Amino acid sequence: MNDQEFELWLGQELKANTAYVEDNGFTDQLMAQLPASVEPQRQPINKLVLWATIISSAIVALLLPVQSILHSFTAVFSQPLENWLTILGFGVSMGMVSILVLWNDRSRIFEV
Amino acid sequence: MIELSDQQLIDLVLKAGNQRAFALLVNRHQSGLRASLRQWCQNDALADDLAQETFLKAFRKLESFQSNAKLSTWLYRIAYNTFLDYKKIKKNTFHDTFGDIDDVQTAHAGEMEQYHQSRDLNKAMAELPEAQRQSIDLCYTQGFSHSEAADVMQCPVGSVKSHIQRAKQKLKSVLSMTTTAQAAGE
Repeated sequence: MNDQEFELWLGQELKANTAYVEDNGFTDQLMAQLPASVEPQRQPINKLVLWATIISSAIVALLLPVQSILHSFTAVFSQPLENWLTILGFGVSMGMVSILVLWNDRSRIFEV
Repeated sequence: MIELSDQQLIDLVLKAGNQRAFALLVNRHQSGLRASLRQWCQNDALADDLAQETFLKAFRKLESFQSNAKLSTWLYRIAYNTFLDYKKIKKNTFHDTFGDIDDVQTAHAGEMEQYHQSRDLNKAMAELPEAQRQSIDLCYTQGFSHSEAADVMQCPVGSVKSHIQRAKQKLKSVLSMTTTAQAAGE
């Protein structure tokens, strides 16, 4: 057998010789040793963005027309009962839609 | 989920804490890794323990996996280091028995020739120095390139090539001696 024939024979023989190793509970045994859950990766918060948000929020809060907002709230609370029921119905519908969207997203992420 | 790539499964483990995705990764890579460790250790039970340790380390370090790398190369590097660590602790020679393949009676008559060839090659492989055996296993059995094997073994590519060259010479000589001895015995 020359070098080339030997090279070919060796490659074939080694591959044929290595049968698929059946799992036979290997993965289950390993999974039982893993910590209960992995903490999902947290996005690092950029300090600059955080401070910019705080400062701009403070400026917006100072510039808010507090009196007119209070006046609007008073107007809302003086609505008759029928209007309150409409607002409540709208809120419940929006809540249900949000839950459905979130549930669908969760099923997609954990789909197996 | 089964059709997702390794990288997509890793993302699911890291971003959603999905352990089933990790189980799929283990299932996908366990056969090759265990077969290699069995070849390196020459002891199936020990190899499986080291494979378990390898995957546990991989799970803990998964965040450090670079997405531009190949997962199998990364896993084999962890396995190789785990094997070296164990060796340092135990200082074993790892030359075990060939009990697993000595049951000649179970082989069918038509498969006998193939069986003898495999057994002879296994014995010849066991006689190789460790680095030569690992280089042959990574490049010939697992199909890694020379540079990937060098990455796993953390040595220059030239060393891998030289290990392979020497291993082939030794295998050829051992196998031809075995054949001569068998012919003389008949």
